Formats: sequence, structure tokens, C-alpha cells
Amino acid sequence: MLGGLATGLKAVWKAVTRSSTTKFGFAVTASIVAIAILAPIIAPYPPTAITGPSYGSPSLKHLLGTDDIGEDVFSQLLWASRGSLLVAFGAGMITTLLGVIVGLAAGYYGGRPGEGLMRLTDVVLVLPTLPVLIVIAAFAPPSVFLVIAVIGILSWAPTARIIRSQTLTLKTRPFVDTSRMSGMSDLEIMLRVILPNELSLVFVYAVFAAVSAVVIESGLDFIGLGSISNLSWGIMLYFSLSRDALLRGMWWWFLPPGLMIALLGTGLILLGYGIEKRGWVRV
Amino acid sequence: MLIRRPHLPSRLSSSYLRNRLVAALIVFLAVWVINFIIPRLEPGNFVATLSSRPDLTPEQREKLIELFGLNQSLWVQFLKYVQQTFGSFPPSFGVSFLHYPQTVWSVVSLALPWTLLLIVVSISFAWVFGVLLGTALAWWQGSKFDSFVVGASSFMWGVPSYWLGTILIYLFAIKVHLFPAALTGTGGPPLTILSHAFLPILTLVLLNLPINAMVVRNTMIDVMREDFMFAARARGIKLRTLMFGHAARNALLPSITNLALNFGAILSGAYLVEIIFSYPGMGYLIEQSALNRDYPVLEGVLFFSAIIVIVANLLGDLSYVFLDPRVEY
Repeated sequence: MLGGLATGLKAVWKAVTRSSTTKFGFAVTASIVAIAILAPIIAPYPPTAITGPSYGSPSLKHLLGTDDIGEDVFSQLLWASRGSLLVAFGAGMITTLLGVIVGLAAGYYGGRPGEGLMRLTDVVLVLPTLPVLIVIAAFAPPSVFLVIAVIGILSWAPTARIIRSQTLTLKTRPFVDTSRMSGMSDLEIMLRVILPNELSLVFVYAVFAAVSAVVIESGLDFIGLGSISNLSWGIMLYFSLSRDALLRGMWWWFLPPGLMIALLGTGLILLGYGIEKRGWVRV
Repeated sequence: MLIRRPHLPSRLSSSYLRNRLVAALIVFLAVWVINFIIPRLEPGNFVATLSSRPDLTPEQREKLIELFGLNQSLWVQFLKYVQQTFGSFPPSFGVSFLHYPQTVWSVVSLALPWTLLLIVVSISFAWVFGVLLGTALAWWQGSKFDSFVVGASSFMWGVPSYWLGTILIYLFAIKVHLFPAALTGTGGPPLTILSHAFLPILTLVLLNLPINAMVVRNTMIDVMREDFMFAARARGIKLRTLMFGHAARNALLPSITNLALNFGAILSGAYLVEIIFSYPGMGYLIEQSALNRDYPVLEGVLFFSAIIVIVANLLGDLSYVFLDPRVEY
């Protein structure tokens, strides 16, 4: 069962180390993950400790200045990587899991059940995630886990579509017939024979889902409907915007959180491009 | 080797168009039902929130609960929803809390054209210039210029639209007084509207253009590696003709598919841009309604947002017929 997946993962790793673009993407992503893990050690202050004057300018003590109540912005920036990565990986996982299940089933079984699943996919595809989240949040500010779940449940349609079309092609290949004749069950064929061949594509779509999830969550935060208990770069942007950071000339409070979201996106996407076999980025 | 021709939808006038429209109709009905369900997932929410509003007297609250049928069973509420949707044209979708006694439709229909203006103009620009840029990138593939745009497009995927919009406001409206920062929807002569809508449109073009250029670039590079391209070169057809005549044409379809597939995300980005610019479209409306707990309008905006995505997907599918010569109609 795990043999096929292990082979697929090995191919993914080989693709990571293949080109300099992918290596760069991996380095950026890995650095952000490291920041999130090491936040308690490398952050100079706890994120919500009052350690300086309000609206302080950058100094050696406070690299990115302080916010309206005197909390250290640089420490918040490091800690907030945890909140944003939680959304990226949580929503990315749910999206990928649902998309792969629906796509594999629809492609492999085809016929009426497959058609039914694709109609469901069509419906999910047109439900715009942010407006749905806003409507839900209008009743009560949702917990970050509800936000992650909603983003995941509304984002799997593109993954399901591409996995279905790949599965439709793959299942006509001779090696699938061979596997069937050797007595493998449908589930085994799907997971051990077909899925490993689609793993690079799955990864690319997971990466895009993760990036979109962070951007959407930050949008919800920006409106003021996000979960404040989960410190993320979106929450930082919300506070800096609502305290008119840019109008006060405090670009060091406003620019870094958005830059970090974009950097996380760049890292993940360059990683994803390189891993897809047909490779988007061939520089 | 036997080459199986892919099954292509033929005869737009008959089965393809009909199937596509039926599919869109099914999606529409499903979204319409989901739109009823989402706000009612937690029973009593409407009522609970109404009761917690200090600005309402108990009498007003009672009246509102009765007016919206919140004390009735879900089934009766659903019948009311049916009646509000299909009872009249255009559908009223009930009465707004905030803009009482205006109907949801009269509130939403004021915002809808502004959003359509923003989206249609910015997506058109992003598409046309994305195709041009993508073609240029494929031509100069591997150059420094190419690497730069590839990097920039990966970067743009993760840029929150409201963050970019705020930076543009700061640069072009506050530092340099080139364009107005907000209050886009004051109307007036076309030039005034344009100058007010310029920065929101610029934000969305900047976000969507590099992504579209990447799709075009990569499709063209893929097509250039196909066997028939080698065969065509062997026959002596100029690379320039192949690139701009054949490969670029092949790249138009995936770029449109990509736009259609991502339209929900594009719309979400546009809504956030509207909010930051106080641009009076659907995004601004949904924010105001969420902050003021105007549930009927929230439902209305959600519904019409889904309709915009459905129509965009339908147009994306139908554009195949016009761009792909193999699809007959």
C-alpha cells in the first residue's frame, strides 16, 4: 500500500532538487516554517507584551517599531507565521483530500456516479469562498478552525477536476489492466497504481490551495471578521490598517505582513511549479 | 499507432449548448438552495442576533421577526424564499434591514453595475496584455526578462489585493495627488468615474496580469514542443509564424479556462479592493451589510456573487466555440 506512495514521494523530492528555481522555493518555504517553529526562541519579545512606547519607530530594540499599545511589531511578525501557516496547511490539506477523493472516484468509476460527482464539483466551483465566509462570520466571528474548514470545503473543485481528467486517461493505460488482472481491488488500484502517477499534480494544486487560503483568510481578517485569537499576518494587517499605519508613515508596520504572505506564496508556488512534471517554470 | 481523436462537442446550436445551459441551470438551483441554507445552519441565529441589538425596541424586534417570518418553521420560510425569488421579476429577495423598506434587489442592483464595470474592465486588460506579455515571454524564454516576470507572477499569487490597493492609494493619492483615493461611486461625467475607478482597476490588473501571462507562456512553450510543431518547422515554416500564428492561438483557450476556473478568487480579490477604495460595488455592500448584520442583503449579495461566477464560467465554456476552430457551431 505504501510502496507506491513512497515511490511517488521520492519522485517529488527528486523534482525539488532538480532546478535552482525549485530549490529557491524550497528554501523560502522552509525558512518560514523554521521561523514558525522557532518563534518562541528567536522572537525578542512575546507578541502581546507591552515593551515600548506606542507607535514607536524602528530601533535596535524594536526592529520594526511598536504598535499602538507598544507591542513589538517584529516579534508579532515572527509569531504570526504560525497563524498563517496553520491556515495554509490546514485548508490545503482539506482541499487536497476532498479533491483527490472526489476526482479519483469520479474518474475511476465514471458513468452516472462520476457525472453526479462532477455536477457537485460544478456547484462548489461557483461558490465564492470569501462572500460565503463573510456571511458565516456575520453571525459570529468564527474560530480559525471553522474558517479553515469552510475554505477547505469550498476550494476542492479545481483539484477534483484535474484529478478526474488525469484518472480518466490513466485508467485506460495497460498497467492498470495488468494490476486488475493480478487481482488488485479497485481501491488498491486507485491508491497504489493511479494516485502515485498523479502525485506531482496533486502537490501543485495543494500548493495553490494553500496560498489562496492564506490570502482569503487575510481578507476576512482585513474586514474585521477574522479570528483575533489566531495571530496571523492578516490580523496584523487588520490592526495596522485600522490604526492608519501608512497614513502615520509607519510603513514598517504595514508592509512586512503583506510581504510575508506574498513571500510564502512565492516560495510555495515556485516549489509547486518545479515539481509538476510538465514543469511550468523551466528557466 | 492509432491516434484517437478527442471527443469534441459539435454543433453548438443543438446538444452542446443545451447541455451546457442545463448544467448551468442545475448549478444555479443548487446555489439558490445553498443560499437559503447557509444563514440558517445554526437555528435561531437570526433571532438571537436581532435580540442582541441594543438599538431596537422590543416592539420593533417583534415586528422584524414577524416581517421576515423568523418565528415560522423552516418549511414556511423556504416557501417565502421561493415566493421572494420567483414571485416577481426582478426577484425582490425580501426587505433590507439596514435600508428598510427598500428590497434587497433594489439595494443590490445599485451595486451590481459598479462591480461588473470593475471586473470586466480589469479582467479584459489583464487578459489582453497577459496574452501579449505571455507571448513575448515564450519568445524570449530563458532571458532575464522572462525570469523576472516568472518570479513576479509567483509573487503576485500571494499578494493580498487590499494590501496592494492600500500601497497604491498611498503612492498615487496621498504622496502624489494623481488620483482620488476613495468615493469612487459619486457618479458624474465619464471622466470623473474613470479617474475614481482608475486605482481599483490598476490594482486588479497588476494582480491578474502576471498570472495570465504565465499561463499563456507555459502553454505556448508546451505547444512548441509538440510533434506537429517540429514537423511544421521541418516543412520550412518560419519560427515566427509558428509562434504567433499557431502556438499563441493554442494558448488562448487555457488562459480563458484559467480565468473562469479562478473567477471565485478573482471576485473575492475585487471585493476586497472595493472595500479599501470605498468603491460602491458588491464587495463594499457585503462588508457594510456584514458589519451592520443586514442578513437579507448578505444573502442577496452572496446569491448574485455566485451568479456572476456561474455566468463567467458559462462564457468561458462558450468562448471555446469561437476560439477553437475544431469546435463547430
